[in-house]
Amino acid sequence: MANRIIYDGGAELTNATILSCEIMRQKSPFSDPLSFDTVDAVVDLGASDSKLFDADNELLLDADEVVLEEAFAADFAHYVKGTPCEIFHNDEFLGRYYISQATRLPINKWRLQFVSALGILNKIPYNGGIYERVTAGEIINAIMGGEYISESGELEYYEGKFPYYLQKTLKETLISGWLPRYKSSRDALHDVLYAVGGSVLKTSDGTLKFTFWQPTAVVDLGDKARFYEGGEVQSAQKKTKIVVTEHEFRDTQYDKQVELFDSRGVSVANKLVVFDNPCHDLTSDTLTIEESGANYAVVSGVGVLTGYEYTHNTALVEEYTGVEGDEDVKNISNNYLISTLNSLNVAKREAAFYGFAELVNYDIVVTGDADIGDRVSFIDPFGKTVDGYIMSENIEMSGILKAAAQFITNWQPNHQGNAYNNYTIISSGNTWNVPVELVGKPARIVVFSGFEGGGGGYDGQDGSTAYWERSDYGTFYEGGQGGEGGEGGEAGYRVRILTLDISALAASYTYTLGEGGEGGEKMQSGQLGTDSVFNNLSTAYGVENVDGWANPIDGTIYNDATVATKGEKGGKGGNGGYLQFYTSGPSYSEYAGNGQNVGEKEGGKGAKTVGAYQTGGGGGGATPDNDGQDGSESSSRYYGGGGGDGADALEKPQASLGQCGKGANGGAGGGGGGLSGESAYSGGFYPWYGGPAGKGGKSTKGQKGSNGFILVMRE
Amino acid sequence: MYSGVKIDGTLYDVRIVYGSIKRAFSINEGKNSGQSIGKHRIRDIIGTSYSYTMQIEPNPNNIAAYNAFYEAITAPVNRHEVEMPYGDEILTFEACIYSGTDTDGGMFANRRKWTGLTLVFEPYKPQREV
Repeated sequence: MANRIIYDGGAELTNATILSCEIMRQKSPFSDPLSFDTVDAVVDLGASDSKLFDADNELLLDADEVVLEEAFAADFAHYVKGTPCEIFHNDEFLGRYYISQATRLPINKWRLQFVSALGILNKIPYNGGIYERVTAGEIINAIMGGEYISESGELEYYEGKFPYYLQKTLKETLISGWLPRYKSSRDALHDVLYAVGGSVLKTSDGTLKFTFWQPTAVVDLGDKARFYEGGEVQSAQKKTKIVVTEHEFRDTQYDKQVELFDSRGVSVANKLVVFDNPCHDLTSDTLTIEESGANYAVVSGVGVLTGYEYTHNTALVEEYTGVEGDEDVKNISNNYLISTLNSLNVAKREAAFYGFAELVNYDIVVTGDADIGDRVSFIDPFGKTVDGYIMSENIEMSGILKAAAQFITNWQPNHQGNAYNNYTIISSGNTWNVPVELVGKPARIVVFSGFEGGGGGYDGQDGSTAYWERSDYGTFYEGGQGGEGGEGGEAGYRVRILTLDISALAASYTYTLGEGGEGGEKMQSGQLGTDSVFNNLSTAYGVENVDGWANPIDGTIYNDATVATKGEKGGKGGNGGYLQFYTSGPSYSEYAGNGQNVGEKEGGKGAKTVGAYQTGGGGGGATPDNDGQDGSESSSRYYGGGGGDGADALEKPQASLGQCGKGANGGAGGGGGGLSGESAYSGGFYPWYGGPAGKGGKSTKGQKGSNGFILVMRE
Repeated sequence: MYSGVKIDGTLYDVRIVYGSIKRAFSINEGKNSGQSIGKHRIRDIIGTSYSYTMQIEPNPNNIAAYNAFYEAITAPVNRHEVEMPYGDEILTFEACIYSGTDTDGGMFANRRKWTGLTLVFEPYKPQREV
C-alpha cells in the first residue's frame, strides 16, 4: 500500500481507507514563529475495501474480538488527545504525529487532525521565571520535563513529555532575562530558541532535535522533472534596519513594592495569581503562599499578597540590513530573554533575513531525499540552479507525494548563540592593543568613570564623669556614662558608565582611566570620581549609575551597594562602676561596665572595685578595626577608676575594582569614669571624686572609590 | 465460450455473445499528476484498472435466468463482485455498472425475449494498486 497511517501503534489505516491526507511540515529561519507540523486526513471506514482482511479474506479483529473497523470508529469517537500515529508513504517514514481532533463525517468517514510534538506543547502552560546566566539547556529541559538518558557525540538524548535530542553547544549557551508565564510551552520554547538562535529539527525517526542549525551537505534535488510548472520567487519582506531591545532584570534595593492580590475578605483555596510583571520577595500577612515563582503564586486563605517588582532595564541595539530606500524598521522588543549576551546576534540574524534573503514557492515531488531544514540545490522556476534550504512542505498524499514547498535562498543560518561569551578588563595603562584574534570582531565596550568615594565618619563621644543624687531611699552614686560610638560615614554610590558597540575592533585604542573619588573628610560626603575616556569618548556623556551594573557574562556586580556599605557605628563605652548607700549598708558594682564589642573586636573591660568602695572605670568601646581600652582601677580612696578610651577607626584602603568607597567607621565611645565613696558618719555617706572619663575614639575620612576601568565584552 | 455470468456469487444462465467480450485497461493517475517545468509529464500513478464490455443474450431455454440476471445488474447498488476472464485465469473484482440497454425481441414460446443487452463493467477501484 502506498500510504499508511498507523494509529496508536496498532493496526493500519491503509491506502483505500485514506481518502485524502495533507501534511504540513515547516520551520522558520530563526524559530519565529516556532512552527509545528499538522496532518489533516479523511478516512472512510465504511468502504468495504477499508475493512481490514486477513489472508483468508476474513475481517480482522482486535484484541477484544471487535472488528477493527468498529474498533477504529470507537477509537475516533472517544479519541484521547495526544494519541500518536505514524505516517508512511510506501516504506518512507513521513513523521510521528499526535491526534488533536477527530470529526465524524457522513456516513462512516472521519476527519482526523494531528499535530507534531510541538503542537501538543502548544496546549501545555509553562510558569516561566527570572533567569540569571542559566543555560538554555536548563530551561529547555524544564519546559520539556526531560531527563537525561544518553548521549552520542554532540547530542544528548532526553525523555520527557516527548523524547528529544539536545545539542550540547546549544545546551551550554547562557541566558538571562525573563520568561513570562505562558499558556503554551511552545511559546516559552520560542522565546528561548529565538533569543539564542536555536532551532527545532527532527531526526530521521521523527524525534525532536533542539540544535543550532548546522548547514548540512548539499542535497541535489535533481533535474527539472520533479518540479511542477509554476512557482514564484519573492524577496523576504525587506527592512532597512533592525532594532532589538535588550533587557535586564535585577533585584535591587530600589525595587517597587506592589500589591499582587487582595482576597477582599473572601477565603480562597489554592488560588492562582498571575503577575503582570515579575516579582520577588513575596509576602502576605495572613495568606498562605502554597507555591510561587517570579510570575505567579498559589495562595490560600484571606489577605493581601505583596511583592517587589524586579528592576527592568532596557537598551537598544541597531543593525542595518543594507537595504536602501525609505526607512522601514523592524522592531523586536517583546522577547525578554534578549539580553546583552545575545542582542547583537538577534539583530544580525534578522538583518541577514530582511536584507537579501529570497523565498521560492514551488510545487515539487517529495521523494524522501531531503527533509525540512536540509540544504539543497535545485532549479528555480526560471531554470536557474540555486542553493537554499527547505523551509516548508505542504504535502498531498497520493500515488506520489506532491508538496507545495518553500525554500529560502541567498541566506545561510547565521549568528547563532551568544555574541559575547568572554570579557577583558582594562584597569591600567593608556593603550589597548587589541589581540589579533579579536581584530575585526564585534565588541561591547563598557567604560566606567572613577567611582565615588565614601563619606567620612563621626568620632565617638567621650565618656562622662560620675554623679550622685540623694533620695528618701538612700544615696545613689553612678559611675560616669560610657560615650556613644560615632556614626559611620555614608557609602559612595555613583559612577558614570558609557557603553559603546563596536562592530569591528581596530588594532588599538587609546584611553585614560578616571581617578576614584576621594573619601570624604569626617562628617563629609565622598567625592565623585573623574571621567574615563575611551577613543576620545568620555564617560561624561554616559549615564549615571546608582543601583549597580551586572556583568552579563559572569554576574559580577559593579557599584554594588552590598559592597560599598555605610561605615559601622563605633561601640559604646562601658559605664563606670556604681555605688549605692542605704542605712542597711552599701551596694556597689564589683566591676564597671565593659565597652561594646563590634564584630570580632572587643570593647575594653570594666575595671573592678577595690578598697572600700573605690569603683573602676568602664571600658572603651570597640570599632571594627580596633579593640577598646580597658578601664582602670581606682588608685586612691579619693578617686574612682578612669574610663578606657574608645577605639579609633582605621582609614580603609582604596575600594576594590569597580566599587564605590565605603563610609568610614565611626569612632568608639570612651568608658565612663568610676567613683570612690565612703561612710563618712553614722547614717551619712560621703562621695569622693570620680575618675577621669575615657576619650571617644576617632573616625577617619571615607574610603576612596575605585579608579575607572574598561570592560570589553567579546566573542 | 463461457457458461453464464457470475455476479455477487451467483452464476446466471445467460449467454455471452461470442466475440463480444472486450477488455480495456487504463493506468490511473491521482490528483498529483501534472507537468514539470521541463515539460515532462509528472505521473501520479495510483493503479491499473481493467474494464470489461460484453453482450448478453438470454438462454432460450431459460428466460427466467435472464430476467433474474437483469434484476441483479440493474439493482440500485454501488457495486457488484464479478468474475471476468483474465489471461488464462479468472479475475474477481468489484465492478460498477452504470447503464445498459436491451431490446424487446417479441414473444417466444409464451415468454418475452429480450435481446441485445450490452454491459460495461467498470472496476470500483484499480485492480492493481501501487
